[in-house]
Amino acid sequence: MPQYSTFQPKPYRPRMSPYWYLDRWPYLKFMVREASCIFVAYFAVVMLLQIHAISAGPAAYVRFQAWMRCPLILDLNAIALVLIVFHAVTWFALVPRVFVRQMMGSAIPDVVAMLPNYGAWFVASAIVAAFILRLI
Amino acid sequence: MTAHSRSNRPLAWLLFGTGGFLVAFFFPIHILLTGILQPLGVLRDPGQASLLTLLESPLTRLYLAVLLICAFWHAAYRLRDTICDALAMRQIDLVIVSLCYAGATIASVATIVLLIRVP
Repeated sequence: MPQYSTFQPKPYRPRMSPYWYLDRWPYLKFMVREASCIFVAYFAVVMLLQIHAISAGPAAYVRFQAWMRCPLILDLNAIALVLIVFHAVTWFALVPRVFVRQMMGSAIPDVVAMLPNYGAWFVASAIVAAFILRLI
Repeated sequence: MTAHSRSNRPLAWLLFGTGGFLVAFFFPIHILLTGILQPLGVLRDPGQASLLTLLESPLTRLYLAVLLICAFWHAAYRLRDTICDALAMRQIDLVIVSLCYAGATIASVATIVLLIRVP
């Protein structure tokens, strides 16, 4: 292969803006979904604090309950709920992309492929709620 | 033929996928009850004694361990890419990876210690 020693053109690399995700709405949706991970870590830490408070005794649990009533914490929890539900909805939306089309011969509507996930989500939530509220 | 070094991404991605699946299924109800409805008094809180009885059960502790550890590793994988892409820090990827996964390791150890030490 001939090597041109006198002139080597540099490959063109367009500079990418650090705010590339603000250019289009799908990019922003993607970045919002990715940012939900911070709130996953936040609420996992809250659950660790809850476990510690339950283990440490009634006084500690009362302090934990008072802390959970702070407006800031309630706001963070509300934002976390919205973002994690958004994550769940987009996660379930991937199922028809990767699973059913490969296994079934005929085309199945995307909604039908997503429905079992929503059903399982509802059942799992009901079971967990029954345990948390000590109905079981 | 140049030898291509294998990436470690697929291993971390498996944890990310498991965590994402578990978080999608179980976190919303936990946040709704523990984070919003119970503090606001819409639903009653069973009390520390009743919840301790629930927490003492090995099944509860196993469920919480799996859910929380997978959630931490899911968050670490996603957080690394989010910080690198949203804040344009891909050049210091190695630092970000170390911080994210160190955080996930510490959090996993804390989860296990807390769940073992339930009275």
